[in-house]
Amino acid sequence: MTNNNKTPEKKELKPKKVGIIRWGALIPLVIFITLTGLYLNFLFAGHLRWILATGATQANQAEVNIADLSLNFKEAKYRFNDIQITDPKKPTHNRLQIESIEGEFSWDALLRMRVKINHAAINGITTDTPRKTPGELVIESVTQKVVGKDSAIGEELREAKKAGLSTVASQQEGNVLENVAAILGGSDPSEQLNNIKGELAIVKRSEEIKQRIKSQKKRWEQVQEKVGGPKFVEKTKARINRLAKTKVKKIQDAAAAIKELKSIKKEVKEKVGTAKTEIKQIKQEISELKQLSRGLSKLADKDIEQLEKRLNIPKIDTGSMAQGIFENYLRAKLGPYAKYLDMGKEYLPAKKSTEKSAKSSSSNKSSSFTPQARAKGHNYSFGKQGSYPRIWLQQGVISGHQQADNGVSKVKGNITDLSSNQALLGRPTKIKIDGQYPVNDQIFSKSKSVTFGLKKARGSLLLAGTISGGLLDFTIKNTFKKSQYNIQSNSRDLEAILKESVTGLRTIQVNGTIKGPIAKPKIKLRSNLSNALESGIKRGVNKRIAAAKAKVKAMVDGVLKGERGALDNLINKSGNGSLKKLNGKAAKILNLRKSADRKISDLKGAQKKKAKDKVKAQAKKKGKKLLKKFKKLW
Amino acid sequence: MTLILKQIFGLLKVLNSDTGSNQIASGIAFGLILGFIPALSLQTVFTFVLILIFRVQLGAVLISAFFFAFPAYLFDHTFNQLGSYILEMEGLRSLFTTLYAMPIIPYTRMFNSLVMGATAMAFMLFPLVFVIFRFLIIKYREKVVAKIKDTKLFKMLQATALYKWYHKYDQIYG
Repeated sequence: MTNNNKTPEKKELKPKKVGIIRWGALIPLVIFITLTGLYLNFLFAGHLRWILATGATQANQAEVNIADLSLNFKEAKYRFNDIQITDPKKPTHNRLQIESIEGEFSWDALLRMRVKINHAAINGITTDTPRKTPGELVIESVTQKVVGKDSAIGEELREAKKAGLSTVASQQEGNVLENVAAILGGSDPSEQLNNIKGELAIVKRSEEIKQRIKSQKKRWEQVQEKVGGPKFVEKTKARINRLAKTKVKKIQDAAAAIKELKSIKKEVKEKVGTAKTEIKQIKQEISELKQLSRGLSKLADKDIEQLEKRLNIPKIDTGSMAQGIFENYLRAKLGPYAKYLDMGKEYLPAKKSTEKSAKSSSSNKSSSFTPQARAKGHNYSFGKQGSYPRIWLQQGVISGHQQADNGVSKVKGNITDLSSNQALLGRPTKIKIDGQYPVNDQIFSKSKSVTFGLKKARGSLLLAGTISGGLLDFTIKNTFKKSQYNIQSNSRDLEAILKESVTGLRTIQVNGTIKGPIAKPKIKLRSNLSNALESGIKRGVNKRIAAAKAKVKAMVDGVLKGERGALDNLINKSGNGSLKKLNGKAAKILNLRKSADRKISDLKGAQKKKAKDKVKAQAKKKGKKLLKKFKKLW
Repeated sequence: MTLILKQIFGLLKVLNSDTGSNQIASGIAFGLILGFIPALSLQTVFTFVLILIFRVQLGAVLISAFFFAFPAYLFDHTFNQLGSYILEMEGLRSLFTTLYAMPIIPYTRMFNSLVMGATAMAFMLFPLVFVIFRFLIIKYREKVVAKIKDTKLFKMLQATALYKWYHKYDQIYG
């Protein structure tokens, strides 16, 4: 026991003295860093290439090969060589083959937690190139390998192509040439016009006016009654005659007759007054009806316009002809690039609002200070003018070429200063795409009645412009040289017109602009082809349009003339008849008044004479009495 | 997992020994930094390097980081407000602009209000946590460990052959 207790004391070891630094951890740390460095230098590129190729194969559903990937960490460079993307519907061919993709980052920016790509290039893009060995398909890799042109896949591909073509065709339908064909190939509108005659606004309005004339006519008849019927004139005349025959034995007899005649005169005067007022009223009403009748002419213009629409008589807007013919074509050509713009939209600055611009203008001098909401916390930006934006592609280059049976295709593109913050960079994004390509069976306008396009030509496209504040400002120059046209129409006239229009026009130039927001840019185009078509079509088509319009006008004018004539007849017959009748009645009544006046005058004369005679008789009597008295005196 | 368990057992051992109170207290303080700062940033990497280079008790760091991550989650809103307050200070604007444009510094991600708030809070609390935990460890050893060592049960355990063997092993291999 004692021994046991002593033994540990003897053998007791002092604990190791340890310092503040953990030297033991430094060596593993150094080894770890060295191994990581060696891995990144020698193995990482190979592994990354395998990961990318495998991931891309899964995404593409067909084999994707990357021949080589080299990374240079010191200079922050990368380069992919010979990328082949198998077409899953045609595994013997690549849907896309790229000679190389290379880029160089800026270490200076990376150290500042920014991404600046000094230079990026996608070189030698070709499509539909044959593969050395057919690519493996992801779905069929277990059960089936590569199939040739006559396989189900080939059939599917052909169907897909057909579907694609029909989509393009449907997009190009209904443009300006279809309108031209509609005129030249259209049927005679006369028959249609006759069928819709009853629907004309003139006819409808004329019916309304006729109804109004009928109701007016009723009123006018009532007015005749109001002024006095034929019995009134006869009765009054008889009364006047009866009074005129009054034997004036006494003065009082004449006075009574005069009184009655005066009352007749008053009555007659009232009737005359009513007649005059009604005549005035009727005249006004007739004038209004005539005005309504004349108003039909205005409706005629509307009728012509409506009929032209109904008969599809188009207005040939030759100014928009280039737009109509080439817009769909250019949209289809530029569509694939729009996809990349959409992808880059995240990094492109949005259209500035007034509030933002005010803010930035005040802060740009020293620093921009913009908090951005995030899931956790807010990111503050302390950038100043000229400093690196979050992401900046200083220069990107794209190039491709393809040799096909129908000629060589070349494309060369350049993009500069694509950044996440243009205000910080102080430069807009510039894009330039320059390409030459063969044109074979390119249809610009296809419809049931007309096909217009190019059989063969040598095309070139130059697109250049800037993107600033989310707005596009581009110019397009599209040229087709050595053009051979493909013009077909079921209207011989149209075919002749179109062929004649383009005779001698071997080089087509389509120039224009693309402006506005990235999502909805406005394309404006002008072309020498449209000018040539304009003059040709104007000559041929305008004649047809004018003839069709003249037919419509003649028809409407005819209807108008007929309706107006009928209305005028009705107005004259009803209105003027009533007026004549009323005037005659008024004249007769007026005669009664005159007759009454005469009778009154006669009676007054008789009354006067009677009074004179009476005075004379009295004087005679008094004279006789005086003579008798005088004789007595003598 | 073995490494983590080893570190945790190491923590318990050091906690109950007479030495290493600074190692444990600094480990807890470093754990506070790692627990508070939300994202992988330059300061967390720097803290890791310091932990590896200096003899900081790793078990204490891991346990501390694990436990401080919970209050940090609850205080996210406060950190965010503190960070926003600091980042919006007019007086510091030019300093932040300079730092933002400097190399390496943006990797601290201190332009983010949450990271800035959490970092500021962690560095402010670092010395305080160190001092408090050092004091608590010393007191724990004085009051609790001494009492346990004085118990009959512990003395009985010390008398066993197994304990003696372990004690010798520990002295030799640490």
